[in-house]
Amino acid sequence: MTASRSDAHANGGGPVRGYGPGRLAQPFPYWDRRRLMGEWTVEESVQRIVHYKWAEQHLSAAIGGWVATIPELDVKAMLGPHCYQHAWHADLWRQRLPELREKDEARAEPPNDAFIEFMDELTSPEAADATIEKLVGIYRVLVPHLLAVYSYHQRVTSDIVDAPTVRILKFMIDDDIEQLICGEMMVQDLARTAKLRTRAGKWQTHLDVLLVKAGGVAGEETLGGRPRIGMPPRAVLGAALRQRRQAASAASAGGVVAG
Amino acid sequence: MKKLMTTDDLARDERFRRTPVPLDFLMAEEVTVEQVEETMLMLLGNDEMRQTLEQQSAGGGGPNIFRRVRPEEDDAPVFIKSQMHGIFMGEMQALEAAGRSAWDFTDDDELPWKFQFDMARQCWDETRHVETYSALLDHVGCDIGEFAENLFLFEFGCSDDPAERVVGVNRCLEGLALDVFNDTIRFGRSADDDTIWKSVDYVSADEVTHVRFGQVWSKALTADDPERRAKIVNFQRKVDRAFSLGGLRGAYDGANTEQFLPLAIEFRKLAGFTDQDIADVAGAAPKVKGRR
Repeated sequence: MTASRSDAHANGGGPVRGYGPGRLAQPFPYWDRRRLMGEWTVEESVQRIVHYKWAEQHLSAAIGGWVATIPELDVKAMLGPHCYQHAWHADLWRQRLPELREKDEARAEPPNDAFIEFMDELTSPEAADATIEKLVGIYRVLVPHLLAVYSYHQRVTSDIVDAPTVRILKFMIDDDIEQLICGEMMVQDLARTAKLRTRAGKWQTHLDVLLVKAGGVAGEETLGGRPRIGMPPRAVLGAALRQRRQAASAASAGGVVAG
Repeated sequence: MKKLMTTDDLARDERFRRTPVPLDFLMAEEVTVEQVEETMLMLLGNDEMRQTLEQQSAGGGGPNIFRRVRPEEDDAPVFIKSQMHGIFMGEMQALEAAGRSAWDFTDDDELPWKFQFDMARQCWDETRHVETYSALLDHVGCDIGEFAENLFLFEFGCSDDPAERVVGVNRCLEGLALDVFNDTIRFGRSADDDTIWKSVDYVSADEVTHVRFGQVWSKALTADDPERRAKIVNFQRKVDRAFSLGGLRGAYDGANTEQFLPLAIEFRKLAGFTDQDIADVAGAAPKVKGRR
């Protein structure tokens, strides 16, 4: 088999072309835009994950507990798979912890007391006529929050060294988007009166205020950071541009002499 | 949300009616044929069913409650509706029981995370079963709420001990489900009804997993605690007796095709039952006086 020779240079930044041994490529294709450097150290990632895990475990348990307290059969049936999905998310985090050097895969911790208070309040509705509050807590407060935080995490962690986390988050985000849609459809369908809509809104605000006091699922550092978009280099104009061109021209002339 | 709810707290919509849990009957060591008939009529019956059974009684002899109904018989439609509705309600209670098991023990630091994970998985599975049986109710022309609900299955899944919980729900309730599904699959095949037997076959496969959860967890949670193990085994005997439905559930030897509800021995073995376990279940029934 004959391989076509490429003009490209490995790691030289030139174009990569060709087929077979002559293709002098880096270990990723030229269209790959992943980042090597992410937002957090290994230890910082572990700390976030144990908070995520705590929230997922408690949410799954609460959804399971609510199934029996909800009279509407369609809502009851909607909660069953979601109970499992959040347990599965927690279990994915459990599996990820030892991969990040955490010795105790059972670790699951709330970020602070305020988040415990938030979760206690979220899981407090119990009566059979409190379906709206239960759904709002799940689908308008905690699931959207997790969706935002997981999406943020996925966008800022390293796509390369932390790729397993990025992949895990993909599954969770996919589940949470579907849950958000299903939950919102159900809330809108159940709450067809002004009174019920008001109840839903008040409970949502009440929980949101508690959530913001906690900072979020990972505490004060849940969201936030410096902008790190891949900014273009500063524009070179005027004298600076003239100088750069003169320097380039001199280098080129020197090269010809040397050659 | 509080921990450890009772049957009275289970939420339902307006279609559902409840009959009282016949605890005395279920726990009795000895029952009469008449008590079995009365209880089964209460558990399975509605006006149409009662009318059918009264017509049978009028022709001489007692009602046909003790024998298996064949698909081509006149009373097959009402019997399958009654059975499907009973299973539908059982699946709903199993869903609720699994959900409560995921919630009720979150403060128990001794309980491994895998327990909650398994219960959450079961919560999802039972939801599919509720959906499946809802569709099957439609298939056999039965409305939700057409028969009364009895909460005796959930009654035995309310324990505050997770080991008893999995024995009650997973080993015993889901074990009973295996027996019933095995029978429903036979019924569906015999009726050439692919909708029934093929869908129930999938549900049955799930139940094998759930019964296995029960076998594994009841042993794991009591492995180093003989006293607790003895308590669990005692509870298991009580629930097996209760779920024998007054001795209606019995051993199936391949020849006894008239048995009302034979044990699903192969399915139970797949779920980890030993021959001794199966013998224990078969022998758990109360003495029945005056059996014809």
